[in-house]
Amino acid sequence: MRFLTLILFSVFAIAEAEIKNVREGDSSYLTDEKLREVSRVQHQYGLDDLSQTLNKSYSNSKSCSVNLIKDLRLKYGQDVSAVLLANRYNDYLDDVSLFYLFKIEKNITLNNRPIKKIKMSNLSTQESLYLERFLSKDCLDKIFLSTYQDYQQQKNNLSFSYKEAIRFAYSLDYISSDDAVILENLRKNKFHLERLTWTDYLKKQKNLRLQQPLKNEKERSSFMTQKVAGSDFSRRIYLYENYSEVQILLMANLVKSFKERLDSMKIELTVFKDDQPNEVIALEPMERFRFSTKMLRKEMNYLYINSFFENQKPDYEDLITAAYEVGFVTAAEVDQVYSLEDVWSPKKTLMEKIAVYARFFGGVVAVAIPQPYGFVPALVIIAIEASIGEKRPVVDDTSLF
Amino acid sequence: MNFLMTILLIFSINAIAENFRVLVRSENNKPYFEEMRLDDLTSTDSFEGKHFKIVQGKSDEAIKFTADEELKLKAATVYFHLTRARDFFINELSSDYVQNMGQITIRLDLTNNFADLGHFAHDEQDPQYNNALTIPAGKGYPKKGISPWGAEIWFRPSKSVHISELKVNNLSNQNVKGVLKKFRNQTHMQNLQRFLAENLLVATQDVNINPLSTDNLIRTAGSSVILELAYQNFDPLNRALSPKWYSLESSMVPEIIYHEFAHMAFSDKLVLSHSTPIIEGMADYFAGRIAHSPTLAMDIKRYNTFNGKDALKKQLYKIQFEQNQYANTDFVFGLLWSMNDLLGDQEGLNFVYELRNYLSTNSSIRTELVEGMLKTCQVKCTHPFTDKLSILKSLDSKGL
Repeated sequence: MRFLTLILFSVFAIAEAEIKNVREGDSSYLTDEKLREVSRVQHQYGLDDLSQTLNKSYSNSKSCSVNLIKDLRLKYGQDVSAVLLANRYNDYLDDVSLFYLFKIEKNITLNNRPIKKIKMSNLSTQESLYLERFLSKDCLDKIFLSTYQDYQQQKNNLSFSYKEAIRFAYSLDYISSDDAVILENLRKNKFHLERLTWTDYLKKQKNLRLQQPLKNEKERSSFMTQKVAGSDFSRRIYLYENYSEVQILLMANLVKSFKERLDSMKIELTVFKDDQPNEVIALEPMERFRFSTKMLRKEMNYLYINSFFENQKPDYEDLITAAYEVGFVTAAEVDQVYSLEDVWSPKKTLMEKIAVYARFFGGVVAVAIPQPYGFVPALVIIAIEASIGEKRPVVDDTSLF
Repeated sequence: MNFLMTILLIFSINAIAENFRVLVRSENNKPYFEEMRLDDLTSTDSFEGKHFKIVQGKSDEAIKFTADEELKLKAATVYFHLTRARDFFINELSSDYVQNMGQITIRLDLTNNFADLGHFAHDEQDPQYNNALTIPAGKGYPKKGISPWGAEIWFRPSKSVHISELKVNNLSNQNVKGVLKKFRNQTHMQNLQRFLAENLLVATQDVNINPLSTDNLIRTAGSSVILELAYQNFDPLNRALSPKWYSLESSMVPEIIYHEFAHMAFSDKLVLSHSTPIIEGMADYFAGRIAHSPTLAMDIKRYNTFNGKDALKKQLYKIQFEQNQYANTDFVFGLLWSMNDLLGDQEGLNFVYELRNYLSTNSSIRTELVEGMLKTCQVKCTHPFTDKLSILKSLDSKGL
């Protein structure tokens, strides 16, 4: 029995230690140029070596990006970036992990010039307490963020800059020389502007999986790795950067209800009279469809006033990303469900775009054309509006929704 | 002896194949004549085969090969294309129902109306021209000497008919006229507002404008006058520009032959009782598929007494389409044809064929047809949920 428990524990320990890409499709990092690098390191080190080293480093790192990169740097030197990409190529990593690991990777360099320790005197109690924050056992990127934030709050009472604080912490042996260099690099590269670390991402993902275990880990969708319009983030990074686990689950639940309504073969409205059902109106198929989309829009509006979403206004794209992340929407469905936004928020047609410009320039042209023919541009504008406006007046008369 | 008899019997019912001149279509849908082989003939001197018997009018005798050239051409064309349609349902859709159909009688040049009890209505009762019809089997009326009959396809003779005699529903014209009306109303309103504003300006401000000057009147009322003239003269102008005479030799249009056979092929589920928008749209769809032509209806547009058909046209749904008098409009046809694009060519074909299982002759477009499409997708689509969404989105875009 004890032996069996030991085996089971080992299996779980291995499973826990494994890191892999779950459900992300094609990587946005793997350009043709990068693929050549991937090919090179795969050939140089061998695929097994790359994946085993990654998983071993991951186990040792305790989900700390700095430790992981340090470990990889020792073995692969300047090839760490290509090694990470090769692991993404072979689905041992996902794009979100790459995003956070690359941010750390550029701050960890080899053969740094040793920093000289300095003698300190007359540190106030507050200053001493502040510097002790560097003794934390957290991942170094976390230590940087917390000490930097604390520094900003206490800086009026501290006699040194944050840069000096790193040196003081090293001089007091709170941190190693290498860590001091890394912290200084993080400072230089404005890492304090980051919202999340790799540790945070893994923790969020783990919490989500505990709340909502995935039914199918093998499917893949590139929907998640595509960029959000007007942003450098992929949809999945954007989701983790902007929303908490609770928010992601709330958004996903909206899409789950939406899907169930869309798939329902019967939706009825019940009219009551004196607390008794008086009339039951069954919705026609297209009414069911439009009812479902309208309900989602209504529920999205309610989401905006939910206390969990203070000052946040998730759009339909965020909802679909959240639903895919927790597995309520499958890879085969995600693009089609996403495209439903067109039903209630149709994109402008070419004619409609032309009409906007025609209306804008029409007035200018009307002034330029000699009288009495100035009415011609106005006539053209009215003609365009008459032919493209109010496309579905009949439907509204014959359909409940 | 028995062996010899069996051999003789086999030879006597063995199908014969002969070559005849028939009308076919080229790849770009142009009609031309070509010598083609007619398969499965069982007669050596008439158009009677294992599956079809082509007769003239009310006769029960198959048309002889010695008949006049025009009749022979029509009989051979009908026989050839019916065989092609039958093969399509058996080979492409594995239809056991079509495979096991008995011999079907095809009547050419028949003007009589169909009567449930008497098979043929009286010769003088509203003679029919320029169309085709598939009739259900009947038990006959033995007491009056009317024998039972099987399901039949009737092709009417062609006859030139003046436009004034046609009951045209003019839906396409209404679309154009509707836009014109809206345009006209907006222009009138805008010009009136402008005129009133100018008068108000003159009355209240010291400005140098004369609202009643010639220039100003042309500018203000010019567009209104032009539009009012166009609107008021729309119908006479439209009539003047339309063709005046129409005729249709339905037995010489392959797509009509396919259309009528399609009615026969799914009569296992959709009873041949009356013409409805869904049944006609389904038959149009299969006619288009057999002909490999999305432009099927466009080619018979000039003969069509109803709205011009066009499978590719994105026509918005109107509640009037539910009425049987709109059976020949193209809404259902276009809607079903769009399934080929949504689901794939072969999947679309299988989908529409399966769809008949969820429909009845009296199904309406907006309820049973849509419901049927969703149920069909549930059992036939590769990805039911997403494919149903595609279908619903497409139907929504068509205004359903």
